[in-house]
Amino acid sequence: MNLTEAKLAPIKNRSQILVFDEKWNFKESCNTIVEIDKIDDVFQELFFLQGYEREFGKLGVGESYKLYCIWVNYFGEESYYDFIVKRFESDGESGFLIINYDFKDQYEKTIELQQERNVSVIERSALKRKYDKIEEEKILIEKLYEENISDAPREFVFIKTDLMWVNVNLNNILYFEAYGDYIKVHTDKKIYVIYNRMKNVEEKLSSRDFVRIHRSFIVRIDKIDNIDSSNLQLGDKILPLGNMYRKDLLEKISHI
Amino acid sequence: MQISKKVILVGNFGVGKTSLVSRFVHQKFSDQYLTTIGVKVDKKLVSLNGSELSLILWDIAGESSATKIPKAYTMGAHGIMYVFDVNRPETYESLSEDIFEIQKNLKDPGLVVLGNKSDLASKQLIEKIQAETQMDILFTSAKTGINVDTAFESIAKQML
Repeated sequence: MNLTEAKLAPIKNRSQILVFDEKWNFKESCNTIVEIDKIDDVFQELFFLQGYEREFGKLGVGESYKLYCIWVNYFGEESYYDFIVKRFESDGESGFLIINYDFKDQYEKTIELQQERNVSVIERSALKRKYDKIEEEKILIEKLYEENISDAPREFVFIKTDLMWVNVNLNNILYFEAYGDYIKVHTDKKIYVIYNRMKNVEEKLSSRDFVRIHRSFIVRIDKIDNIDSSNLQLGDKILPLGNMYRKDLLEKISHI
Repeated sequence: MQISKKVILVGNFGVGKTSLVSRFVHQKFSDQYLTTIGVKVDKKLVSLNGSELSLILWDIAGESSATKIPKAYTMGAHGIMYVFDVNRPETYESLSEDIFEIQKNLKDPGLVVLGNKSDLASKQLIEKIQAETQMDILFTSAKTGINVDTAFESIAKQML
């Protein structure tokens, strides 16, 4: 076993590791679980090492030293445990001790549970981060969808006749014709008469689908059959094309 | 002349304390998570203003609250590095209280607050944390190494 292997050992085999240089000066530690008796800048004054440096120093590579009854207070409880100090091979210029505690199954299970708890919290956090990102994207997509839906023209309109509101499919409307204070709505099947003004109707219609061609006419663009200098034809109807509306009409229709 | 200073790394579990030490002392990073048991002590010599400062880094096992940290681990510390994970709000929600809890038993310790794993966070999130906590935070990443040296240099300067 080398130092890295000892550090990354499975949790149930994990031991306390102390690394010293050739003169037994402390270099680093891992998994220190013993209570510290005296606080000082000098790390060697850990409780369990006090008075034992000489014994540890005498250890040959692979030899172990057994100690009894170490005070451990990691979980706030006072207990005595046996442990064995073993000197492993030198790792580069440093030597290292691995201290194996006889903590019995209960302690190992506690450590395992701690690792599992920590890992689960960290993984849950990572999953939440992914979920939040997906949620953000979902909200953005929904927002864009809503915007597009609201921008998209409706395919129907309710027309108020004398007695009721009638649902008329916009695709079926041929043109609107001013009729005094009223407007005639010419559809492919029927003519409705509504009380309104051309300007109001023009504002409510999609400018992509409808165009004003005269002060008295608004036509559905895709119903136009042909256009000449002063008129246009929708089926068997010839409608006048006003000079001031001509340019707008030509801009809206695709032509080659 | 060499001066020794004890620095404790504290904060919730899994925030990257061990990885920060590993990056600073050994220039290494691993994605593998191994919970720290008790305390892990590392030493690093830092040259500062002509002096050699020996940083004794006490990487203390993460707890959900500073009240759970054994007093023996924090006592006598000259500097505190409080680490949180920018992506886990629960690790910085009690920032002030936790720092107060640790500081109260120490004599005028140096302090740096580190928002770690910043490589996984957006600029907006970092700005939000800064605004919410109203503290001087250094955003680090043990993975990329960003601001890691700066963090340890900062605590070293405060302790001199």
